[in-house]
Amino acid sequence: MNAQAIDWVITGVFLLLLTLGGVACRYFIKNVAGWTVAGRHMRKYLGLSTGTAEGMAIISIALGCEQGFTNGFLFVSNSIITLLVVMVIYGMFGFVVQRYREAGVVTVPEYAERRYSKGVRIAAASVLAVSGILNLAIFPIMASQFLAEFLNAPETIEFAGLAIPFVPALMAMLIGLALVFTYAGGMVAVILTDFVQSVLIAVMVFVITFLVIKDVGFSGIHETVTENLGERGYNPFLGGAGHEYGTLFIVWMVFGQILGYPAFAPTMQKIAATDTVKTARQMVFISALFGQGRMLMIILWGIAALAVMGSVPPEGMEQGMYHKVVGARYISQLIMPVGLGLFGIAIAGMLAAFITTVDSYFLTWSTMVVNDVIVPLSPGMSQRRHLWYLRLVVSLIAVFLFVFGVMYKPSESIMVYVSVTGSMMLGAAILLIGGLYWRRASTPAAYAALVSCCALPLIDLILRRVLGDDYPVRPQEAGMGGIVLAMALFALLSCLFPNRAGETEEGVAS
Amino acid sequence: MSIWQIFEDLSGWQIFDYSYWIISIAANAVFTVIVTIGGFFDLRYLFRKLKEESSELED
Repeated sequence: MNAQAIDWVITGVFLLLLTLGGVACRYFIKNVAGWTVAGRHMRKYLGLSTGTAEGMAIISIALGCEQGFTNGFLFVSNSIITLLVVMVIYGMFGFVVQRYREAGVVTVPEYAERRYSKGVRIAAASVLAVSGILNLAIFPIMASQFLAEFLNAPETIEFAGLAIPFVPALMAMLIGLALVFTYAGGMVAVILTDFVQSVLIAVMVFVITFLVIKDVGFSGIHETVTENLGERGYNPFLGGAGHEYGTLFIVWMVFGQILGYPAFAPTMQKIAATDTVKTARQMVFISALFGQGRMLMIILWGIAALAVMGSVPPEGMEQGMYHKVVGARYISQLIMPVGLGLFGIAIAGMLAAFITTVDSYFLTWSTMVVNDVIVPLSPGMSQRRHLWYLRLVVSLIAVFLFVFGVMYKPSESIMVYVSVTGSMMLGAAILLIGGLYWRRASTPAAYAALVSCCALPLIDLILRRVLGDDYPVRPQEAGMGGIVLAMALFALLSCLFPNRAGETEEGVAS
Repeated sequence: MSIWQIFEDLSGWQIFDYSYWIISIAANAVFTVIVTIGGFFDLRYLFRKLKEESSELED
């Protein structure tokens, strides 16, 4: 392994302190509101740290490196779209964010019951939870593979005379850590780990970016993209066979960002945890700006990895896997000679980046399953029983993630997998935006939006695995098809069967 | 002509030159320092409020 004794000491001390902090959070959690939204006491600076930490998981680092390596500067287009959509529409104008926070709900499905019906709440929660857990499912395995490459770990490790595969063992440890944090401290632990991670990861990103620029230089980065990718490394509108990008892809990204933000439950739960509407808007606006600034730096790492490591994978490694881990190999080689415990700080930063994202997602999806599916079906549940269910569901999700990770065979890029599974959630955004801003929005329309937005990407995901290279549909076609169908059905059914007088209209534009 | 072509013609993506990175890293560094200090006080506030609420519940 690449790490020295000092690096392990730094990592160990960091993990110990963080775990003690996470477990200590347990003493502050006495009710469900404390566990799910930290009693709604998150103020501005914690909001900013949690907002920037949100988009900086290990998988985001792996994704940024993979995109820089395979597509040059094209992922910059995604960052620009994110900036324009999230910062301007949701942050500056407070679209959705303001009315959602004012509604005082914890989750989008909870709003769906107030505005539509209990059935819509359960359906929205089921769709969001399934797609969210599928979305999360590749995080542990990708993070473990990225970390294993970063550490230059052997394939197996000896323990008590047994040869244990390193990546599954690391994955089990990472999932276990995230589980401890969520189990102990709920949203309070999420906020605490986000705070620590946002600082650590910032230091790590600055230092590595400095080393990358020193190693390859700006002219080297530019020449690498030009020589290896030509115009395809700059122009995201160029499509064609075997190419992820193109005009339709960009359109899909724009719609994905517009609808993805309010559909993404972990973000909305953090908005629900803020102390005021003003804090929520500041959190969205400022954290989008700085989060995307950091993401742009990571794209550079991938391009520099292409310049230094080359595009041909080492013997015995598949091309797709090489794209996913080459960034880890490169930054590992880059910071190893520096010493000074920098490698240990990087390991600690990556562990924090994993824990903070996964504990946040554990919390959100378990809250959704329990609050929005189990509780509506079993009214009158005690607080103690409610918390017990929340922790049980978190544990079940953790087991699923491990099994999925062991069985997972990558057949698409991280970005495509995350985008397709993310598309399945977008129906929830349509019913939320419709509910908040359109008086006619109705229950049948909400069901139709949920089902149609989820069905096409899900079928696409399954067929892509079954048919392999023979499958002719591109992810953007399935994803965009689902969005267009869902919006059309929502508008049509709301016009044909509008919200009847007497139905709940809380949160509707007056 | 696409907006990307304009970017290329103008600067060959030299918008990502030293000045961009110096500004970006400096802004991110200042942001990190402010959020670290402010976040520390916000954490104290959060724990105090949660402690008050849990005492009320126990009473």
